[in-house]
Amino acid sequence: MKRCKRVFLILETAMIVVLCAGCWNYREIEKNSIVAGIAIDKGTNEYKYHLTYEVLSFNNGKENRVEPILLESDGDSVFDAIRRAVTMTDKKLYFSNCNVIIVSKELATEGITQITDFFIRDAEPRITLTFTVSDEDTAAKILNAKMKSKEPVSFKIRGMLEQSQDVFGHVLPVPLFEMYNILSSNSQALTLPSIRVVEVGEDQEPQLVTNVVFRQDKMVGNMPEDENLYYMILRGQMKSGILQTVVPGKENISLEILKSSVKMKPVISGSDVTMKIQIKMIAGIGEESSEQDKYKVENGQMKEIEEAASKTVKEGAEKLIHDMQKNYNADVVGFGTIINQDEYEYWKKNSQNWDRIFPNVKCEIEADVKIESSAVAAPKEGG
Amino acid sequence: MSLSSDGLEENVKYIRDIFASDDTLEFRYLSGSSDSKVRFCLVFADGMINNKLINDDIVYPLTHYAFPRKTDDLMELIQHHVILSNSVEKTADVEKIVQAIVYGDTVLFADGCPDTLILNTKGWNTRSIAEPDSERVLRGPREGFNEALLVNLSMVRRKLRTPDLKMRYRTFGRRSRTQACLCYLDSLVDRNVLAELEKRLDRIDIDGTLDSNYIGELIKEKPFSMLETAGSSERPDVIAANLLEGRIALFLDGSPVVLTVPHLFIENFQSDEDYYINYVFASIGRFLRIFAFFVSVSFPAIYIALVTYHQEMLPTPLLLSISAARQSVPFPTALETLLMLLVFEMLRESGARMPGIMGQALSIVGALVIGQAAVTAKIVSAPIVIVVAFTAICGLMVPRIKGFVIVERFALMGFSCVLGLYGYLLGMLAMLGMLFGAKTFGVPIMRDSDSNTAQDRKDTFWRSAWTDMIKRPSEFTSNQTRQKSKGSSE
Repeated sequence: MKRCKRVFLILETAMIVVLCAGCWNYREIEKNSIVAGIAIDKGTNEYKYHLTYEVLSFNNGKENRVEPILLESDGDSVFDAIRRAVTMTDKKLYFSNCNVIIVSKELATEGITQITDFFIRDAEPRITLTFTVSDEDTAAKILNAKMKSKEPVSFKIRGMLEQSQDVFGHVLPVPLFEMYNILSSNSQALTLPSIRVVEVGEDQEPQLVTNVVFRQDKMVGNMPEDENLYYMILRGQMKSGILQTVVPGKENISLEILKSSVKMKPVISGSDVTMKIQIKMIAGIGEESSEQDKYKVENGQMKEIEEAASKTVKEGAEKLIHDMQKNYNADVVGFGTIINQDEYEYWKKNSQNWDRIFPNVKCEIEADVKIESSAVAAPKEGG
Repeated sequence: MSLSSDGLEENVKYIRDIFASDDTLEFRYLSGSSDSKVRFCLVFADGMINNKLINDDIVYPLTHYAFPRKTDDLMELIQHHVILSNSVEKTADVEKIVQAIVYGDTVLFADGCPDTLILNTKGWNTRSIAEPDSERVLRGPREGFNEALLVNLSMVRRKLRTPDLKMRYRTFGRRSRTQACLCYLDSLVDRNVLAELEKRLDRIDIDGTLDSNYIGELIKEKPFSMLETAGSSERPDVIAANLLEGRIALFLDGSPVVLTVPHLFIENFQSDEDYYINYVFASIGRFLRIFAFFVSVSFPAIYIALVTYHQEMLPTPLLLSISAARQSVPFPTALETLLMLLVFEMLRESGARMPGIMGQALSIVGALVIGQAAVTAKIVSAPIVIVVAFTAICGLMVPRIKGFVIVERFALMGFSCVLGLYGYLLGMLAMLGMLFGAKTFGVPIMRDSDSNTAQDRKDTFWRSAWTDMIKRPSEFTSNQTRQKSKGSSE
């Protein structure tokens, strides 16, 4: 009797836990159509959205090659369109490995929250996927690019985005969860990378263009390309990049940014808000194009270069903030968030008027570039 | 019961009746050379005895000795002055006489005596001492036990030359009357364990014990458990080391496998070679074996869980290659894995049982047909072959618990088929619960794995340097000090 009771107890517990464990089901891996990327355009035939899926299909030849094929569907919402896609495929579309979602410029201008909502709520897509904006007239054009390597376009875009952030400091990929945070903060402005297709010989290759600036959830314009670098620095996302500066007597010098950090502190006096921004950067000389004193950078000159570079960074950052304040009124750097953290009392009173305050926020920028090495061993005396 | 008659013929007939229809029994009558005309009869089982010994040391002296006309005690005289034998026992006990005859001794009957002499003339062929196939080492002693109890005991005695080494005979089997020997170091053994072992041995009532596993199973903590309560080895050095840690060894005549108790789970991962090579390399080996155990138990289960429940956990390139390999494979992943694992177990089993000369055919069929052709023909997918191969290799690294590993592997696979990773974890918890709950003679089999003191851990996941092996395993020895000079009082 006691034993019987114990067995029942164990079975019961196991069953309860199974039911509590949430969503699970047995499905074979090959019954899924793996979606690598989605392009979202304005719908045709009176539907609201037109989705193009880049689906991976397996060539059943000798070498199991992965080949992308494109499926399309329309719907009144993203979810609706995805469900309608079933009419075209024998397998379930599977979104966990979806890397990139490309939204057309038109839709981005109208507002992006309706599109992101499904991807945030649904369990399958990862919250690390990246939204991008098409620089072409439709988003589908990007996925249609006939690349030389037959690999999926979405995989290439994903690679380019990672690469761009890690070595070039150019465009900033914003993962879905961060995008959600920014959109719901109501103060910070979102930026997304934009992509176009360029012709390379007979082939077409996707290319990253710049960061696209949003106000609330609506696209307002492109960030000028020369300001991307300073945007990355101010966001504290600069991992590695090239800083060009001009030094008297040395002409053009390219510095390789090795490390960059930024500190911001709001100072509030009356109705004036001033952001104190401190940029610290460690760099190495990557390339210089002067005729004389080849490879020779003397101690005094090092100082000169550092000062020139600091000035360049300071001016660049000022220009970026100025442009964002005057042209777009978009708080891309996230001043609002910082004030929220440091000056909560002020923020509580004034957050509703942030739209009007932001364009008048003053910035005091201090930039300090340290050059770590000239990357050349000193030449021998008389050698 | 004992012989009562004085008459030679009556006594011999009595024995002859007991052994009726046994043609191998020899009855050799002799007469003394002198005029006393005393008659003797030697009884022995042919084939069990050393002929030369009987001829030279028993028959010759008996026939040449000048017996006096009258003696008070003929047997006394023969025992002390006539027979050349190192072991002589005078008895009239029929049971003893019968046992002596079937165990290769010679029994001497004499006219006018109710007593007999049991003379040690054992002599049969045994396998020579060789390295055991199941426990090979690159470095270390190469001798292994054979089937003769006394030979085995001598091998251990040679390693531990101390009167502290106790060897106590026992007999198992109502019909087989198999000799066994309980062996331990008196000052190290835990009395409770010894008492418990003897209690369990006393309970054994079986007709025959042909291998030590008969005893091993009969003295188990839980008779139906998959886990062994007693360890086993064919190597005298292993047994000696176990004795030195305070364990008890049980030798059984006719079996080269010697049991040791108590038996901790970690012993399945220890090899005697660990102690003969550099401790760093030994520790690497130990780590690998423990890792292999976990892999072998869980790899197929995790594969099934990931591929059929948690595809999102797979990195994209892996997902793509598995998905590509699975295209147009007819079986579901779970069935596929199960079938391939069964095929491997069959290959292994046939490899173990079949004559060695057919080995080549087996490996060709296994590698070519089942490995390559099945994948090419899309009957199974390539990842499954890799999973099964890796699982199998890992399983072969821990041969001593292969049964346990196989059962657990299939159990976890079952869990994982039904519930995914959640099921796998549930099964794993159950397995660990079983392991940590099991005991061997009052000692938990995972005793040293859940302890945190350095001296308890010194010989588990890694093998410490001998300098650090200061104490013996604490729970089954009455004396923990292994190295006196290293502090720690007796």
